Amino acid sequence: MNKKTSSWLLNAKNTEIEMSSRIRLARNIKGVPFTHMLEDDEDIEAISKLVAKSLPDLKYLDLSKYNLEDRALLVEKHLISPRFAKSGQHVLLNSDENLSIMVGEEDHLRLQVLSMNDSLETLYEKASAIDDTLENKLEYAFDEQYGYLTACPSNVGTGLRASVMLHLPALTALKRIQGFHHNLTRFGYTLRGIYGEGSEPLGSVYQLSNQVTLGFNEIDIIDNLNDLKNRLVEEERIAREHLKTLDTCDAVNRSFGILQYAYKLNLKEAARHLSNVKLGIDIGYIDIDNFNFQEWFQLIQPAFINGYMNNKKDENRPMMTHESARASLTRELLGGE
Amino acid sequence: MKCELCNEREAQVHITEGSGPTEKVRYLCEQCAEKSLYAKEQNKDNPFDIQTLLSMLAAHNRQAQNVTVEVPACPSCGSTIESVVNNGLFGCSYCYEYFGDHVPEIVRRVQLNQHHHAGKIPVQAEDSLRLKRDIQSLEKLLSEKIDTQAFEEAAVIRDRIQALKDGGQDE
Repeated sequence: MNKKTSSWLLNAKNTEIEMSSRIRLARNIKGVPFTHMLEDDEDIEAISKLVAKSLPDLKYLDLSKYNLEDRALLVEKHLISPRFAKSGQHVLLNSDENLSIMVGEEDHLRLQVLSMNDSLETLYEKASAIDDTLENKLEYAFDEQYGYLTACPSNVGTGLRASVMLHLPALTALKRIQGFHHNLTRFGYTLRGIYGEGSEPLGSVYQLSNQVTLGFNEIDIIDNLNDLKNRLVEEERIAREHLKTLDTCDAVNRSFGILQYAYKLNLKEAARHLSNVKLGIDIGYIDIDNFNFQEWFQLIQPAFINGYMNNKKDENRPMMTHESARASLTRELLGGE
Repeated sequence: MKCELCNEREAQVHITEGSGPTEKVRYLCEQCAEKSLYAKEQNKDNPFDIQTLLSMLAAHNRQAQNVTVEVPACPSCGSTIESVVNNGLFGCSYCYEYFGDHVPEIVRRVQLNQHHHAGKIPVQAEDSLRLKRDIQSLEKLLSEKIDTQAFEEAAVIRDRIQALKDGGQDE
């Protein structure tokens, strides 16, 4: 298994505010009860074999052969869901790791494509083309009124979840996220912290996504999401103007110092400092080459830190803990000592 | 190092609990780590997940209407309307048809009052849907012709509808 960052993320160009995008389609097979009603793996295994046959370029992973750490790594790469890491077995991935199909999640098929630079429309076209290929081998559960039938009624219709990750430190600092969230809900969209729930999610990274999947076609859902995203990005830019103060400049440079020189960092701290430095770069307070925010944000997550610690085993550093390993990583990344 | 929980197997996983000064790292073997994560998930008391909300709303609605409806279990998967409402999950695709009267209420609540699919149609379903829509529009035309007493044209339309229903193509 690839223990490093997925190549699509490594090769992505650095962007301001907007991070990666994702399209997910939920599909079920006609005549087979939904996953939670199945007593054994027989049907799901049969479906996964048909998927593998239809898409021979994808690599099949049998999760039951992977340990907990490796499965956690796939969760942190956003390739499988946390629930699937515990109870799922069959996954198909492409070599860039920007396409994954979970077989036997809440729905029989959860197909998703990820990208840093492609638009949501392009991603949807990709996902839809794969969906068409699968349909040649599998007959989907579909209803004229309710569209693609899913286990949970919150996915019925298009089965589409479109989402964009956004870095919103200024709106977070000015406590404006809750207000946006409230308004977005009325339009059938939602904004929430991607890592950890609550008012202040890790590193001010949020996910904007549609909640309503019925009554609108895929392109309308995506167009509306894009409009809302552009509005949020604009608001974040305006909010950043209010944050151009000595205090912010101080916070940015302190964070840079901590990432370069600290010997212990917990996840929350590391995320906050990376977020501060990213903001500092975007508003011109600090200049750092190759600061890959999204990749590094992933590297500080627990399963990646586990991998980092395993690599360092040979260096005979018995005292290394998660926190000291994370600090050692950020020192390496930011050229500190 | 031995696992902190079972003290038998070798610890392979580090689980970080809490953060800041309360952060605690536990060293566990894979089996114990899995059990502990699973227990955590079970205890997770999130009052706003969709399943909980759905069952709360449905219970509230039944109370308000003061009705207790007895619907037999879905003959295809054995789900009952109670199990669907309590889990927030249908058991199989046939449930949508079988619990027909209850489905609009369940779906509308999580879909902002939307109740009709407007998106992609699978190619396999496209043909039968198109046929259905063609028949519907011809039937509408037929009733218009009858209303205006254009019986000759009506007879032609009737034959076309019959041909479509018999599986033939509309000429």
